[in-house]
Amino acid sequence: MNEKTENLVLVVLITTVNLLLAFIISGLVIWSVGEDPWFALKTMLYGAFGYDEGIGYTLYYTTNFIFTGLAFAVAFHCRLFNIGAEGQAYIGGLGVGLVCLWLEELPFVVILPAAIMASALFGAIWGAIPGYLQAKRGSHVVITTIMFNFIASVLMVYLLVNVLIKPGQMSPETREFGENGWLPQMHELFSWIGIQITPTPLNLSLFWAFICAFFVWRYIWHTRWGYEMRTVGANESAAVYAGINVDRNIIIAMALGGALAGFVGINEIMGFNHRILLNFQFGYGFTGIVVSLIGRNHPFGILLASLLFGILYQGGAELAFETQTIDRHMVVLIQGLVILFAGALENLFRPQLQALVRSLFKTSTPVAASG
Amino acid sequence: MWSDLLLILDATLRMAVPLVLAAMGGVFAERSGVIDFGLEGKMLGGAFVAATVAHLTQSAWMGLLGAIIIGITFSMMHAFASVTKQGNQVVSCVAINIFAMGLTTVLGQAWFQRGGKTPQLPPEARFTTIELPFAEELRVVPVLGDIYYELISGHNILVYIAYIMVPLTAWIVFRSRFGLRLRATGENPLAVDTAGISVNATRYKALIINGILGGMSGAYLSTAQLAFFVKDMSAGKGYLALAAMIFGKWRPFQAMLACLLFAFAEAIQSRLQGVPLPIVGVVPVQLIQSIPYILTVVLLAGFVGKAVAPKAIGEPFIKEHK
Amino acid sequence: MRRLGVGHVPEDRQRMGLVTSFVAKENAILGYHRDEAYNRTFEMNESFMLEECSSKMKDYDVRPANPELQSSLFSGGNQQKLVVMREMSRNPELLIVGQPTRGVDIGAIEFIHRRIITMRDAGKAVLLVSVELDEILSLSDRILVMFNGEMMGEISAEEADERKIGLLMAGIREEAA
Repeated sequence: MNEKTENLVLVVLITTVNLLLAFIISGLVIWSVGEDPWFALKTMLYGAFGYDEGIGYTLYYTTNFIFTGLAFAVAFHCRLFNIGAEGQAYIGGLGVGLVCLWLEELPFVVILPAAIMASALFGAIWGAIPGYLQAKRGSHVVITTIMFNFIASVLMVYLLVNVLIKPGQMSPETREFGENGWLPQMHELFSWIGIQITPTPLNLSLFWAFICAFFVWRYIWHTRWGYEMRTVGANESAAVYAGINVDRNIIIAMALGGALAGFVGINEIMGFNHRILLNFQFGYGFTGIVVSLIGRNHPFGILLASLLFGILYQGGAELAFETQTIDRHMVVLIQGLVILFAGALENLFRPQLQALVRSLFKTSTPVAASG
Repeated sequence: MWSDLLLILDATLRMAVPLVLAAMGGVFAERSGVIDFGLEGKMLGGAFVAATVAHLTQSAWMGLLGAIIIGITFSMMHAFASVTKQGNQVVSCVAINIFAMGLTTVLGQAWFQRGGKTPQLPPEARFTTIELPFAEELRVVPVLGDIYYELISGHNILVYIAYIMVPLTAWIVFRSRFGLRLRATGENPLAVDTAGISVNATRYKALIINGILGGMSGAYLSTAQLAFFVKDMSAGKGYLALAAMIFGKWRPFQAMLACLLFAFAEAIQSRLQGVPLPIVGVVPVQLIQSIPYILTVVLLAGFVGKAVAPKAIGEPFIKEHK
Repeated sequence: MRRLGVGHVPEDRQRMGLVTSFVAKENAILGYHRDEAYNRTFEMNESFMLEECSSKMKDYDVRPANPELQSSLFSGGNQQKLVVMREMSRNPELLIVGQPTRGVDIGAIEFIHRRIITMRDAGKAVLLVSVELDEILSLSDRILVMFNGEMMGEISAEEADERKIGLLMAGIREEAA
């Protein structure tokens, strides 16, 4: 047991140090463009937590990141780099929107499961094709998923400009669908029980994200399917030796990742926009990579990391609003740095921190034993 | 018809330049055993720095130098993370790409405040076309005169550099001593190490060349093809270049041909728009736009069999300490 | 194959026989993970996995006998015992063993050899593939020598000695010698 806690402490310590490094460099960038990093930090924290509307937006973004983070993590356990959550979320949203448009006469209890299934199915197809190409044709999943992101975005422009656009309208959007297809938002739920909060896009999808995280955790570590997937990811020849169908697991992992990314559509389309529009998924897919890497590809870590990036997203919006020089893309820059330090350079301080943790535990073990 | 064809081919040659430069950079990195999905980031960073420096100094050459420096910086980040610190190479590449996307937009907005666009460069601060000698005079010669005038003459210097890079890369990789070490490092690092040659040093050298070429491809986008930088202007070209290189089986000439194929698809885009074709009628513009991406997927899925990468690709070299 | 009662201890335990990042109890079912005993409707029966692995580890003297320990942290000999344990404890009719003692300490070698003999005595077929002459001479009943992809000859254990095997290994057939 002691080893487990020791490892946990080490992981938390390494992640924190690497995150801090990324933030310090981001602070330097802010400083170099002539803004005060301390002011920036305060503005971001206030924007994310300072008032109930801010908290609503923070959790709303968090919801998206949980989905895309899980989408990356599931595939990563099969050692696949699913860089395509962006496109999978986009196409998943298409599925949700189509269901809501076609079934809007039906009651909400019918539309909701149909929309969930549609988003999962559309996303899964968009993930499974690159998975299939990787498994059967050896085309690298990173390049194919990136290409599928581009293809998704062109396809959506085509559909929204030529097919699904609301007649007599300039901007490429569908019409708003009927209220039966609206997922209740948090401020509505609160008002039913008599509490008034500021309306925000935050909606029931947050709970669906928690449920997904729970199931991903059970699936990956506690079912035979997850076991096979992890075997393929960790050691392909051992998987072949164990009679596991490697190709099938690759395709399944990508399809599952795609389905999870597709749920972004539930949050965005059903929960807030109530219509299909361009680029509603923008940037969430890439953030999913970061979230999963800092969360150590574990659902619990992903929940925490999603919250962190929810804060950064909402706080970053506040910061961009407050200052002229800092763009919303500051968050993208921070993400790049976090991936670099927490992902690629995760071993940078490992030896030192490992020594530190060891010495800490050595001194504390006798106390624990005597107590 | 003949002049149309010449114009399309001319556009193909020009549009292939950033792909060719980046693909050659990819050849160096991957032949040495280092995965490089980070070409996209180097291209984007190079484009931004080239436009900015060219704007400040009013010199395209200074811009190019700046682009090369940022390209090397990014590839050294990659080298440090994935060669020295033995981190995950794909993760490092993704980090560089996202970092470049954020940095160029943030700095572009902070410095110029034009929504991520840099100021328009005057002709003096760009790479402009060079008329080769006698191009005008030789036009009277049928066919060959046209080809010389349209295709061979009248490009900017980076175009010529790019196409010279292809045989040069081929020579370095397959004929020079460095190239031998490079390929050996990518195929069997252990043997290279036993022979007393540093695997990591070879990979660092390869990545420096890779950074130079990646930066140059970016400079072409913003100071030769266009006269400014706009955010996300690389639009996946780094990945296309990598796909071309894989399709070309890590060989310079084949990679160049694949780049030309991509560029051809791009060049006919503007020609196809709004033009009714036989049987299918007017093709939607979005379908035309997606041709390079679909082509990439199709090519990688390989009608020519599985591509075989250098054996040690993606694996950090860890010396046994026994 | 496994369902037909064939066990296989592969030559390279780190590359094939084990997933070194898995804990011992997970590796103890590699290839048998779909067996009914380990699975409920959806999730795996982890308490049973733990129990079974724990008792088997004591039986096969895998040290430390901790089913929750990551496999890469075991010594080479104990990793090999883990693989042998997984394949032998299922009582296969035929056991294929490749290089069972490569990179393994002496104590573990003896233990593995004893186990192979026990299986033979129980009337099971064991196919041992090895480059260690001592190992072959001490364990085998019948010896087949291969050279250059060809079967060079068969010797029974009584008449086998190092010289005879050595000649066959060099590609010289008995008639010629």
